[in-house]
Amino acid sequence: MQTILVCDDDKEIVEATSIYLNGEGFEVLKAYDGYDALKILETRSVDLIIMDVMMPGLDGIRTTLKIRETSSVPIIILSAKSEDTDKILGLNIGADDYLTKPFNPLELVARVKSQLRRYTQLGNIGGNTGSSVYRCGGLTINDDNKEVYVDGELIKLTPIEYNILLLLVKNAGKVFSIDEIYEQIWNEEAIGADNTVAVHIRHIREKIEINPREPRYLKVVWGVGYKIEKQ
Amino acid sequence: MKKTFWIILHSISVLLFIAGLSILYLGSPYGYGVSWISDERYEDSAKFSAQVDEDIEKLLNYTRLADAFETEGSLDMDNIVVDTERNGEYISYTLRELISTAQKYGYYFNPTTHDVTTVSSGTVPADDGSLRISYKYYDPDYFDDLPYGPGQGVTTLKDLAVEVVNELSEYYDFKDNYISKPCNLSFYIRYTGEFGDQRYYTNTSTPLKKLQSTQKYILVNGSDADADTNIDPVPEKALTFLSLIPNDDDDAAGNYLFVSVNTAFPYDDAYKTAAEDFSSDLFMAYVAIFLLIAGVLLAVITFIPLIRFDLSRPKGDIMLTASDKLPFGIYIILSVVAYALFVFVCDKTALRVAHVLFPMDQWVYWRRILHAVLLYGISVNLFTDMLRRYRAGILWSGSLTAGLIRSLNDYISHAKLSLVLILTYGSFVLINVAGAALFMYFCLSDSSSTVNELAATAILVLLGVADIIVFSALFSKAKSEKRIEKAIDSLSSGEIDHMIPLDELKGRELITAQKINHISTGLRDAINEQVKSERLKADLITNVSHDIKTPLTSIINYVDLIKREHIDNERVNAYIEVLDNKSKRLKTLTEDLVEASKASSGNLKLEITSIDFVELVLQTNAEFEDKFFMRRLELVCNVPDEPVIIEADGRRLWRVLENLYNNAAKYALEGTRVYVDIIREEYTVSFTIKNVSASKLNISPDELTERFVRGDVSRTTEGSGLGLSIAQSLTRLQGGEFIIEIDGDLYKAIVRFPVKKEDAENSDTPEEPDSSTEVIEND
Repeated sequence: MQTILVCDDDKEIVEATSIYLNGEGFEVLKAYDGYDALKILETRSVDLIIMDVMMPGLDGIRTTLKIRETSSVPIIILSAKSEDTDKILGLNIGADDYLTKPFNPLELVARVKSQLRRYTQLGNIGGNTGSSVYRCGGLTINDDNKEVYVDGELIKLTPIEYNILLLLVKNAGKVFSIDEIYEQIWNEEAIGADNTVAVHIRHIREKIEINPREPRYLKVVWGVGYKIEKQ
Repeated sequence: MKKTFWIILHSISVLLFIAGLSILYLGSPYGYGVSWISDERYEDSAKFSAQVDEDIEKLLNYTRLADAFETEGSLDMDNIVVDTERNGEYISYTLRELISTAQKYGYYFNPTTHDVTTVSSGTVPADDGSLRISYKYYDPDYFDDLPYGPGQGVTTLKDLAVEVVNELSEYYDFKDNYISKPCNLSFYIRYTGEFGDQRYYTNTSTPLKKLQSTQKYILVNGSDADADTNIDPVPEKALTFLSLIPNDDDDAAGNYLFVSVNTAFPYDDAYKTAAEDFSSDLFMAYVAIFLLIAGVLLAVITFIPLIRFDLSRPKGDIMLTASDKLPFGIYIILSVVAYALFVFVCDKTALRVAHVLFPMDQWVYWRRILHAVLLYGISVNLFTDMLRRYRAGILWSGSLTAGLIRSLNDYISHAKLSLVLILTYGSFVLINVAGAALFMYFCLSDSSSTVNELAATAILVLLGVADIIVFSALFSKAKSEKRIEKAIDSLSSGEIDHMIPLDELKGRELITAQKINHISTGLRDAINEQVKSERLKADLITNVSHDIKTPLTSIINYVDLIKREHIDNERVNAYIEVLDNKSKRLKTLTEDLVEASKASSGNLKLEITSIDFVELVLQTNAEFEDKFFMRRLELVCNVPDEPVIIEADGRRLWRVLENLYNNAAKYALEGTRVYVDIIREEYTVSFTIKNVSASKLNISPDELTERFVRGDVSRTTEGSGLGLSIAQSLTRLQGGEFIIEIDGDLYKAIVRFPVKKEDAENSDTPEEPDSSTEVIEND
């Protein structure tokens, strides 16, 4: 059984979170500020930490920094602060994911699972390092058997969706416009404006992303095109 | 009235002065000044000297006549008195002949009274033609006084006779008054006559020496140029005696003129009368002088209270009359006019009275006095008026000159630039023309001397220096103006941080620059203040929303947990559904609130890049495919095939479109079409989204974009009502235009952006959108 440390100064949120996580079969340790969390970490081994930012005493950012001094355990920040700068700060100091309050409990659970899978199973999948395996963060594509994994979980895609994703992953970081993708996949000149490609991409996003509105892998560059974030 | 009293007193003083002046002017000693009053006695006065002088002239005239008319000291009627020539014939006339001739013509010489009377009765014979004078025995110098020329000395016998009888009358006049009867004047005269004969006249037997020691006398000696006298001032006429003496006379010392006056005045004559009048004259003179001094003193004394009357009052207490409202200049002009008017009236009235009261020879004097009094009165009035104005502080401010200067100043300050320009340019041209003219003058002057060359060179150098100075002044002025212009430009384009450096600026430019700096400082402060307050507001909203989010998280989570309990109670489930909806709406509301406040306060960082509007719309279309499908809405999209590049922040613009699409998805009538178009214009690109509203849009477009205002207030949705407000703010932040139009149930939103420059140039003539209408089939 995997152990998850939930750290938040709001007791009810800790309680609710632990109910959800218990329901998924996780053991939950509760901490109500940064010092609590650090104390627990001294005695217990933890598989994942859910950390609030605004807490009395030691806040979430400083606690995360402290933990990162000794441990690489996955940390998901759960904060009421929803600004881009807050997210960037949280991810930069060593957090693995960032979720804003009020959160969807299902999304939280999904992210927790995703992080755990990556943390524990990454080595297994990565073992098969053929020339036809493309990896980008938790996203892995094996071109030999046309399989796509997200955090170790197999994802089912249509052939067109697969080809689009493969094109983007092969060229991770490069932005493809709708027309470019169309020309590459259909092998013909794009005639007129068409949102077929955009619809396909939305479908891919819905399949590989936990929250398609805030994609981790397949990002929309508005007014330019789409890309896979290089990780 | 105190003032009236002083005015009356002052008028009296003026009258005293006039009285004194009149006595002196009209009195007998007029013409001798006033110094004579220091003379205690008549014989010491100038008047006495003048009298002696007059008598000496008479005496000399007498001796001249006596030489011709007398033989051995008595009148001889047979003496020839004149030689004449008529038609080449020489005729000499005796005194007797001429007297009878005069009588023939009606001029009768009375032998007893020695007067000449004109008898007009009887027939007067006609004048018998002209004759030429050869020699007048009674007037040896006759020809000396005449300018030489033909016709000189021509007269008629009648005229000659009349002249002689008049001379005879004069002769007797002196003889009767000074010789025949005893008088106070004594004289001795001795000189050599025209024909070498010794002439000697006297009217006294008293020895000369005695007269000289006891009386006022004057002695002119032929050998001496100066007179010996004890009369002051010297009777100058006595010296003309010297001219009577022939130059070639050896016995000049023997010729002398002696006149003396007995200052005891034992005899009744002009001297005695004058001496007697003298004391009364002296008294009158003293009175007059007293009156003059008293008048002047009193005038001065009474004038001081008149001045003090206005000066002593406090400034604000001055009673200003209606006349004070007139400018002083106009008041002066009016006073002059009044003076002219008074003079005219006085000449017609008061002067006539004076003509009746005073003798004719005094009329001129009285006229002058009258005018002087009028002038004085008006001057005093003007002076006190001026003082009052000065005291009231309106002398300058109320004057015509001040008004003129004021209006001139007004003109200059209003037409400053053009005037300064004209003056500057005018002086520049003047200097150049003058310099060039001088240069030409020195260059072209005939004598090409070194001085001229030097002068020409100097002028050329000076002209060059002057022109350089003017040029540099104009240049620096232009530079300053450029600087100010730049500042205004940057100010108007929103660069409120721009300050004009004040160094090197002068005069008007400096003032203008300071004012502009002041404006930009004020503007910056105001904007900073506003930005600060907006930021504070946005921060407040952000912080509050953070604080709301934490409890809201628990609400949402526990509602969800309750739902998972699968309670078997319909009513409880319905309640939970309400809680679920409302808590989720609260979530949206808090998120939108933060975004709206940030967008409207501009408190967010934009990442402006070049983006393809068409691509963005296609991407958005894809995102909303499902949502539209769920509400059975058909999306009709009409976009150009070519990319349309604009400068914007892709993510924010997506938020704008997202809100607009969301609006359509929420409020469009089910089963209708939603039209999305991108229309490329010459410099702009417009995105429009049109749909038919499900409910009545009885609201103005402006209200729609206002915070918390929603098109449909009755319907329950998850919206916050901030969507359009956020969309509008974000569009404007990115430099776009956001328009909402409502036509009945047709709702239309337009987002317009300028097309990126290079792109706009590439296709100057915008292609007709090759309407490849993309209909997303929702099936």
